[in-house]
Amino acid sequence: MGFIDSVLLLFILGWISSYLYKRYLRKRNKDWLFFLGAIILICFWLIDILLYIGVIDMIWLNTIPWVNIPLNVPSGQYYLWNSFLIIGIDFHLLPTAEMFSIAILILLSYPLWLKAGMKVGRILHGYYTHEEGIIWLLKSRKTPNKT
Amino acid sequence: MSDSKAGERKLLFLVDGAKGHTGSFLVRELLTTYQDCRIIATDLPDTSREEVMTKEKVFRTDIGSSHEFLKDPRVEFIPSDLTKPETLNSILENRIFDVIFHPASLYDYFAELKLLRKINVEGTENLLKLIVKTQDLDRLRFIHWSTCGVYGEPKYKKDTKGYPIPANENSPYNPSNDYSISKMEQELVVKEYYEEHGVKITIIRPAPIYGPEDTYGGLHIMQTLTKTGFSILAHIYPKKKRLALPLIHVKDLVRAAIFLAERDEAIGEVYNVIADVFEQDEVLEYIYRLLGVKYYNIPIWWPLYKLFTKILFAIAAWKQNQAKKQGIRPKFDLPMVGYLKQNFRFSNEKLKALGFKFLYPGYERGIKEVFDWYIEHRWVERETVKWDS
Repeated sequence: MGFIDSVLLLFILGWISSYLYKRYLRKRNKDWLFFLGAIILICFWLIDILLYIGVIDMIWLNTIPWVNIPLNVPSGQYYLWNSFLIIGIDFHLLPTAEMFSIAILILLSYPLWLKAGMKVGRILHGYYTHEEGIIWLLKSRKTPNKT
Repeated sequence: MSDSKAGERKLLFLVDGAKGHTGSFLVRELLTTYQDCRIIATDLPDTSREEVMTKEKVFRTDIGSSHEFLKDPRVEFIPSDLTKPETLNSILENRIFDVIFHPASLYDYFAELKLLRKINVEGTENLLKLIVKTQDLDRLRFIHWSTCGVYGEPKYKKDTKGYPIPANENSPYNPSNDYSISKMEQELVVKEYYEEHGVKITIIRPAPIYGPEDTYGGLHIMQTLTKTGFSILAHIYPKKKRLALPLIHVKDLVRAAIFLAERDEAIGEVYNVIADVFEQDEVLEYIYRLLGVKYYNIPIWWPLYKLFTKILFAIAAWKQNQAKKQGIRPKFDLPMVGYLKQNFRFSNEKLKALGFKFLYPGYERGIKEVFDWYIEHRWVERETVKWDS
């Protein structure tokens, strides 16, 4: 995954985790949200670090007609910096040594994006088992009684 | 008015709307205040009451007061319907009352104006017509329940720093919703019977009432916050634009009604019955903390806040129209949302000048008691899951 889509996905997964936690998981174990967050973060960090240090090679993406990763740069890093390659958007950002510190900062920001998604999920769907979140305000009552 | 005033006979009170929130507290307060009295308590028959009082079942269908106090030997319950004078006649004829307390009304922001007028205005006129025919008007005191809502949002006078001065009883009528319109018309009927027939009336205008057993208003706020678990607390700037939250604890309200019934100076007068003025954000923050609701403090400039609440009001209006089309009640009646955008700041000086002392002049103790009551009776939900270790 590229940096931008990682960040977006982390936010969305945080949101979904929060929803699942409130809906199904909290009643089983109240630490589920932490477990879920930790699993997601470890997966993202692992994949992106392996991509960055070249353990995972992405040159095979060149088999897709609209993807064209230059052969003279580390393919994993090129893939990380050009997030939307798969859908045909190529920023042609060539990774350099100076960009390493920025990559570290982006990787370190992952928990924040996940946490932000979880916060939004909490606001919209609630946290404790009796809560329904802000969404509840927009749901109509079902009882057909009227004065 | 004391126990001995009636001399040879026990004091006889009529309380209508006795199964309602205020009515039920009033009967209990009368029983405590006057050991030697008789109370005729009346309200709609249970089946009719359930049909009309759908507001009590917005969040839960399994709640309601037990009305144990109606089993007190000093209390006689006779069902009646303000819109059917013959049912009232059987209560009024052959009984000479000392005080008639008239809290009975349809207090429902969702109800149609036609129904509100039928019950609140025509119903009160039916009662007063029969009072004039059957009661000793020299003896009788008539305590009528109106609402601060008849003022709408008053045009406030400002102090030297530009802060609004709470509106007193002389502020003109400017009702902003159907319920308050019906209460204004009801007041006019009551005043007419004072001026033309000499009925010794006193009109009380309570602020929104809170207290244990309340199924409308207070429960809405607590239930909503508990369900959403999140809120934004807007602190309006400049400070002089901050909104007030008018409140009266039900026990203070019924105490005030009895207090006024005992004073001849109150005849023909109107009194705001409201605790001291509190700012909306203070009270809400206190409630958020009690409920353990997560909230964010946001300072906001008044014009932006106004815009934001206008949008909220429009969403609420859309939800209400949707609900009406589907034949169901919305979770919130529109005027309730209106509290977020209007400043209701009323004075209780006239009542205090007469010597009335509030049990709940502030909001903390009263709201805490109500919260504890809701939790104890499980009207407000809490997390019930138990985890091992």
